[in-house]
Amino acid sequence: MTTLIAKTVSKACVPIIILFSISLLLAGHNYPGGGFIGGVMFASAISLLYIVFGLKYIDSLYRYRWDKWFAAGLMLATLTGIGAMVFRYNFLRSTYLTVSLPLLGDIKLISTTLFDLGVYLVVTGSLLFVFKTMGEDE
Amino acid sequence: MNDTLLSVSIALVFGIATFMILRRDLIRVAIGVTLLSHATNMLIVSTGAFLGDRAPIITGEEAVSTGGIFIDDLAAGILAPVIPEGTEMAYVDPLVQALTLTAIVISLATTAFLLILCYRLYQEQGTTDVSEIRRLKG
Amino acid sequence: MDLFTAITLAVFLPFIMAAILPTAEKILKNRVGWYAAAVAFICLLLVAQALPAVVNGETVMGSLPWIPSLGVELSFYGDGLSVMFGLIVSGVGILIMSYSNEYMSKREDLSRYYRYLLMFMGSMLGMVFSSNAIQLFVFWELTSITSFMLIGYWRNRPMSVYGATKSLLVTAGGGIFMLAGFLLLGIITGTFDIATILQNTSMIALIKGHELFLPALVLIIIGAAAKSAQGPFYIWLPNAMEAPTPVSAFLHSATMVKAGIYLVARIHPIFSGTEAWFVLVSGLGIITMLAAGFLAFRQTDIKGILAYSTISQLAYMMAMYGYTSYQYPGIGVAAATFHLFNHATFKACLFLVAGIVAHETATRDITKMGGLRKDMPITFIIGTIAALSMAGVPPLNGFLSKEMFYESSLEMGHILGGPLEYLIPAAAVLGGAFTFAYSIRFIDGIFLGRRRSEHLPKHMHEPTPVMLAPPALLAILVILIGIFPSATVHYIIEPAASGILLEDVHLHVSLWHGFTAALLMTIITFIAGAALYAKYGAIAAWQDRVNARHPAWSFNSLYDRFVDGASGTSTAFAKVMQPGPLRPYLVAMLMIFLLLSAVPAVMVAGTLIPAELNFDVPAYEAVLLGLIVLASLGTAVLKKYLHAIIAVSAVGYLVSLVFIYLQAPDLAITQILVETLATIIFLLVIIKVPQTFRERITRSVLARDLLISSAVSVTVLILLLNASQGIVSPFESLSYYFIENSVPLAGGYNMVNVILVDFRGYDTLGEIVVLCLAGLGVYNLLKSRSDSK
Repeated sequence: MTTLIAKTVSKACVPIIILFSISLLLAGHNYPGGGFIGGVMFASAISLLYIVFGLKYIDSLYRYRWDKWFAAGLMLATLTGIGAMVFRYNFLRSTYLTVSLPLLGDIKLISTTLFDLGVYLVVTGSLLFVFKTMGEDE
Repeated sequence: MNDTLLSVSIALVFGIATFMILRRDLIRVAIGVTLLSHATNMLIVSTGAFLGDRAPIITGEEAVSTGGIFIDDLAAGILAPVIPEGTEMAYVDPLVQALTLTAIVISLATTAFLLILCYRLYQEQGTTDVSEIRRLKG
Repeated sequence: MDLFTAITLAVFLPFIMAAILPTAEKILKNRVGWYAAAVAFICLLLVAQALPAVVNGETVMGSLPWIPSLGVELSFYGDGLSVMFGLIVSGVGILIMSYSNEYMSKREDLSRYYRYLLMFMGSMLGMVFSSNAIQLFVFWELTSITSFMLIGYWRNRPMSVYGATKSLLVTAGGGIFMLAGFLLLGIITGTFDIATILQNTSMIALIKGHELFLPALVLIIIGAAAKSAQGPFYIWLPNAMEAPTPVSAFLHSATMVKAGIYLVARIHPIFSGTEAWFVLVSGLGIITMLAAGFLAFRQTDIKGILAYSTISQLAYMMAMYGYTSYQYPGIGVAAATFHLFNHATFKACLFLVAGIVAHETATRDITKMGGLRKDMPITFIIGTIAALSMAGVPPLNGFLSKEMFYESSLEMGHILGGPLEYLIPAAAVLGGAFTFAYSIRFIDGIFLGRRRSEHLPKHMHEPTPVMLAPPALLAILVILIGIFPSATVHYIIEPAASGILLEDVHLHVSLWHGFTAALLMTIITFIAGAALYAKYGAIAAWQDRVNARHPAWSFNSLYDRFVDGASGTSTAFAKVMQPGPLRPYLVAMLMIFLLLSAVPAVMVAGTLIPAELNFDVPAYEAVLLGLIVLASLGTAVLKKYLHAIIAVSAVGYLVSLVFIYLQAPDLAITQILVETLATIIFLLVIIKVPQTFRERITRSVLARDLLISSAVSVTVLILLLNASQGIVSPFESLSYYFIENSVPLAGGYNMVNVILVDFRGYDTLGEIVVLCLAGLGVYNLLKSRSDSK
């Protein structure tokens, strides 16, 4: 697998895939996408790196703790829910407001984007955590 | 949408998945479970597709009205949103798609878990034969 | 702070503080008991804020939304009765938690101990301030559970575990009966809010005239009796003495066992004034009082004496709350309430003294003690005061409430007339005589007489002030209330009794109130009690003879037989239901699936195959579906793992095309990505699991499996065909709601995503938790091995 072609192609592709996954996450409320899809997309980008370059090589560059990702994601999703309770609404109640920015025009800020970000982190973190644990197993 | 060919195919995949799940080899059981989840996802989505014929993404600012009166109020004794019968719908059912979306991602995680379970069983018992493992356990 | 907020805070503060207690323990180390005591102190202050209001005859009411869309609220109601209980719970809580600082060894798991204690205190406060019956039930069972954990605190001692299980089974089981009683009340009145029922005389009249009156009453009384160890349910309390002594003092004398009494007092206005109430409550109380009084007299374990005496004292209150007539529904209410408060003071004190004694002598057997007055004079004085108060000796507070008990017994007897006019007072005096006898035995056995040094350690001394102060404080209270009862009566007892009777109550309690019949009864009690104690040897010999002659049959053996039988039955059941091999389970599940889905579908549709079959599909779709079936067949036919896995991945990718065809873009993207990852996982695993086993499918097995598979296949087909014809469901699809409200309510145009993160966000939260658990599960499967080897 680790041919020069694969390495070169994935070097070019992985950042694009990651960017695409983030755009999927953010656009999810209006177009196909969302936390689940974006998360799986991100996980596949990273696993491409793991496969092409090898787990050990990636770890030697930077050792990632994916379990922290999904813990953070779960926390974020839960806190979004509790946030609504602070304002005396039901758990996970959502709201949105439209703001006008100078260059970008009207932008809708939706509280569920935070929840979706939590989903994204959980999906990414848990899938990559499983992968890495399996790959490291001797 | 009334599509008998699709129904027949889904039913056949169900049957084959069942056959695989009844095997003694654990890896084949895992493949059967994966196949079964494919079949189930298709089944659920296909039932939702009979509602309308457009993807569940609202385009533009068009007003969506199903012409129904929604009262989701328990105090009024109404347990589910009520809509007049015979309402025509443009969109396919979004709810089944939402359910299936999470099911797909979760089935990935559980498949991974199942496979690791098989792997660990093989390491402990030296075989993937269910009956053999049971005999060893006594 | 308004009173409702104060009470709500008092209920939840202990839970919150219990949650952060482990952090506090890191800072305070083994001084963490003071932290818990401080929490109890804050709770006391919060509850005490409501005192001026309830003395003026006001009540505190309010509710918080809990599940607003279902109309479920968290509602609190504070009247004199609740506030009195709140004061007892938090006040005794302070003393117990301070005392525990010395009592519990530094090596114990203190964090767990105080966490349970705080949680117990919170549940108890929540229970007494609950307005809603269902909420009361929840807190009620929480006290049972925390009590279970505290009794079983020393989890390595079999007797501890046995006692904990017993208390849980009996009290929580009783709670289920109580819940059933509440449900009946709800059926009768249409509300679960006790405060609403209490304030509505027409509702009370409705209950009293209803045919479900007796069932509701019996069920609730069973719950109360189980909690307060009355009647046959007494068995759990003596075994609960395995708990650390401060726990016994807190839970099993001052607070939790009084929950049943609280319940009886709370529902008093609803049920009293009827014959059923008198027969059930007073009858239960009087019988328990006599039996437990006798048993207490015969115990040798000092905590055993106190346990049975608690049962007997609670039975006094039970009996008094039961005294009722049509004209005067609450004859004994004031007396019972006063006794309840007094009992909390002297019994908690006695337990703490027993804790000190057991701590110093390293035994709990009264026959091995004696003469401790020289070694621990202060403990001796404190213990004597409390025990004499229990015996009903003036000028202590126990004397006052005992007198009132006699007075109300006389009055009740007088109202009933006939032989009961003498029987009820006689029973009361006999109960009092037993109490006197075992109280004297407690003092004499431990402190007086000759020191039996062969059993006792050489050096015994007074404990530190930390352990001595709480019982001393209670003993001072015992004397003060005895000599100057008016303050306590005015600020605590009168509001509580008013809360029960729903009318203003004024009491005149004084130490000397002339030479009355009650005083005569007290004198008889002392003489009879002293005589009983003098004849202790003869009575013991008589009881042993009776026991020897009759085979052992008791509520305890009945309980043991029931529990053993239950666990035996469930083992046998599990053997039948869970034989072991995987295949029978699968076949059973599939068969049930067939029966539950295909049969109703055919029955509803009335025909096997609905009339319209439509094979008119585009060619590309036919090719796609053909490929899916082919690839699926491949997984079954191909021999090598690698080939089968490639086939199953092919199915997965083709399914994503089907999703596009079915107008599901989100699903199609997800499916492609997930399939990629799934294939990688499959490959990672088969690298490590070589294909050593190849199943040889015999012809009979093949025939059987094909039969099952085709049955499943046909069922699914029938279901799908019926679904495409449209079976009319009782409800319209929820989806219409989501389609219509996606943009206006959630501001999103992708309905699938809106449902996921907004409308059904709760489900999604659950699902991401599953993902996390799967990740952790994989981690544990792989990493746990290195530990085991």
